[in-house]
Amino acid sequence: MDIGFHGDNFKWSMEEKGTKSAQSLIEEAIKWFRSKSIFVIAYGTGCGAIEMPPTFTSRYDAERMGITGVATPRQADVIILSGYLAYKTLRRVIRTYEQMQKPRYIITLGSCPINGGMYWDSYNTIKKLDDFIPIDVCVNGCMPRPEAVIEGFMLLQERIKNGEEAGWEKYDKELEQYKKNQNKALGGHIEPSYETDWYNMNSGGVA
Amino acid sequence: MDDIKKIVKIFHGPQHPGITGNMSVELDLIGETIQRAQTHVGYLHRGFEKLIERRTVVQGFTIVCRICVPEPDPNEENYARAVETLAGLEISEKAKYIRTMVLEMSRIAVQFMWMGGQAGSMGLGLIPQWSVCDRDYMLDLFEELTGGRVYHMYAFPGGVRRDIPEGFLGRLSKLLDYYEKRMTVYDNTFFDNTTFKARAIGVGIVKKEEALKNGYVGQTLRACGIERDVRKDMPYLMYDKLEFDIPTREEGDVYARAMVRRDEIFQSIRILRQIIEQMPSEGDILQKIPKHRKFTLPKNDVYIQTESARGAMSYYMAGDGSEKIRRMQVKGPSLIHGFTLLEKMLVGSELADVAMIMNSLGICPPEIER
Amino acid sequence: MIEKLRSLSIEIEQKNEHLYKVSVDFQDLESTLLRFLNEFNYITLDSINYRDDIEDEKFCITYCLQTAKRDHVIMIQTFINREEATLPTMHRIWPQAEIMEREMHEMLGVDFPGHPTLIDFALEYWDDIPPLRRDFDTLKYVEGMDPFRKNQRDDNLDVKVEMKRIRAEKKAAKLKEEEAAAAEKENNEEPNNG
Repeated sequence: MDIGFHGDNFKWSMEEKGTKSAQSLIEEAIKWFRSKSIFVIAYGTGCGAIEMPPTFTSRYDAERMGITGVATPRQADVIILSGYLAYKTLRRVIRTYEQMQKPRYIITLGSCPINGGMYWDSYNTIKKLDDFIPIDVCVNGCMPRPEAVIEGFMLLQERIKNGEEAGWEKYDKELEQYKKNQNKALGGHIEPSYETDWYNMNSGGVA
Repeated sequence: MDDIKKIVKIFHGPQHPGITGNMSVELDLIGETIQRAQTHVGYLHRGFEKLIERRTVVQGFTIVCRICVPEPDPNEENYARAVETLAGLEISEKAKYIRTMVLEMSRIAVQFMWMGGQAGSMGLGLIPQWSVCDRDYMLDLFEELTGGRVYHMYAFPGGVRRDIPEGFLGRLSKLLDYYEKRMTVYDNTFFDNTTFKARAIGVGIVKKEEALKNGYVGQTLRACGIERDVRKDMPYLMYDKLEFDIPTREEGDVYARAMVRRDEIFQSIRILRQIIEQMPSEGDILQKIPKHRKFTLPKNDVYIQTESARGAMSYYMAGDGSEKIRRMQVKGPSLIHGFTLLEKMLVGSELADVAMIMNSLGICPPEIER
Repeated sequence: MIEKLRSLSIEIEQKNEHLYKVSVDFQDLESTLLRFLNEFNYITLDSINYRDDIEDEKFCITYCLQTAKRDHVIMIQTFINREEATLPTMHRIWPQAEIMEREMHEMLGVDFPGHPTLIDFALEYWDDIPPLRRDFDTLKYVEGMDPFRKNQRDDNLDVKVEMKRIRAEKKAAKLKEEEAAAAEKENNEEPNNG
């Protein structure tokens, strides 16, 4: 559907829907504000990190939609998993995802998180990522163009405005099933654990 | 005992805006000075060498370009030349000119991306906005020639896959004129910048006496005063018939490596202009592989080197008499620079200089652990 | 340099215009490398390459050396046993050999006595056999870990076998149709006759 330049104004879209109670008006306003300022964490996890700089700089400017990059997980809304994930990276991604504050979303790029992609017979990559952490938007391509990535962001904005069930709510409801899958694939180690002795360890293979 | 209490351990880790890719450096600090550094890789390990053992020559050609993410063309060139040496295929002169042109275009694109990374790591946020946009114009030309922006899959054993389209050489020549004019803007804002000079001169010095023995390659050698380049010492494709120089500096610090890279952009433009004049208009593009579904490699092994934008990249390939590739081993320039050189160089430097040093050595993690 | 080597009656084989190869026995390996470094000035170690020849039960190890001019490469090749493979460590002479030997220990299972850091390089918590040996089957490992590919994907099939099966099914279905049509024709004719 074609939103157009003026049709996305908050006041006009509210007038179309008719009058509502004060509580629901405030909730609609919050959803609209949230969709217009998305902060992306700076973490390039795979092959697709080569198409991130063109998306966020001046040619295919993503900042006009309100999307910028931040440095730490506590400040971010969205994590972009750009390509395949090795087992070692999956442990760090799970820890980063659980440190982000709610509401939080995941966008994946490429065909490797969907079904394994071209590394389907490799002994060190994840074949189906949806068993381990909940994905909101998949953008396909190898690697997807910057225009395709921006279209994925616009789809995420629509979902936030409409209030559909997001990935983080699903993660809270079905936490046991996700943790069972994670422990089975990662062998029970989701490192680094909170009991690691940092000052005396000799880096014997951990992290 | 007092000293031990003051040591702080920090992971300059996989999720960090100041590293080039997905790797981590574990640092021991007292105050702001680094006492010990250890590199950790393995976050991007796909087992490429095991995947290639299950594939034939045509199937392996499609996945080889993803070994090094910012710079896929030297990988395809090495693979094609190794198969041609093992099987005894000859390629025509027009195909040699086209492959040389693709390698030089890719070199210019990588140097522009490096400029963005180096400036962004010390806070000059304007340069990445310009240089990533200028690199995109070159990727538009690649899309017209090969069909893909980053992963081309163009250099096949026996030649190239498609002919150059009409008017392509004219568009390339116009883009080179634009780049030559644009480099004066970069000189005024980046290479003559007071902040860059104050931070980069005297930092990250590589000594000349041990550089050859330890196996350093690329700009780390050329910025110490040693003039070595695979294109001049062991020439391949059309490089022995083209004229170009190898720029060198004497100091060996971060500033010298940046100036060597800047001079190499001008040398690449010079090579491309000669190719545009000398390109033959007729010739075979691709030598047909006889019976390509049952194409076998003979029982032999070979070692091939190509000059990428950061140094010399080498492939070791072996075949037995069957259709599948027996063994392929990849060794890029980042293996030695990322482990042996980095762990020695970081001892005694400051915490704020780590990102700058890693960008100037050109460390690319997917090439270390394939 | 190559003429000087040939005049000392060392056997050299030429593969390419810039590539030469020397084969040595395992006992002479360390002395040959030191001789090439000190006497003939091959000061750079470029890489250590390896290959698993499981039919002969040997590993084939190659050291690639270069002079200061770097205008040719010489490969020094040797064969070692597969069971309890050990090699002398070169990290005191060439510091870049430390990381290459660490990777060989993890991927191939070769031991280097005297090496300071034989710890993990790229894999974490790995408890199977070293993955680059020829008897490690990566497809079987993947099917054991993840049920997703085995039950729901059908791309591990042979094309020729599947085409034969599909053609046979189509033929059988066509035969059945013709028989049914012929049987109906007979049924339609009988009431006319009878």
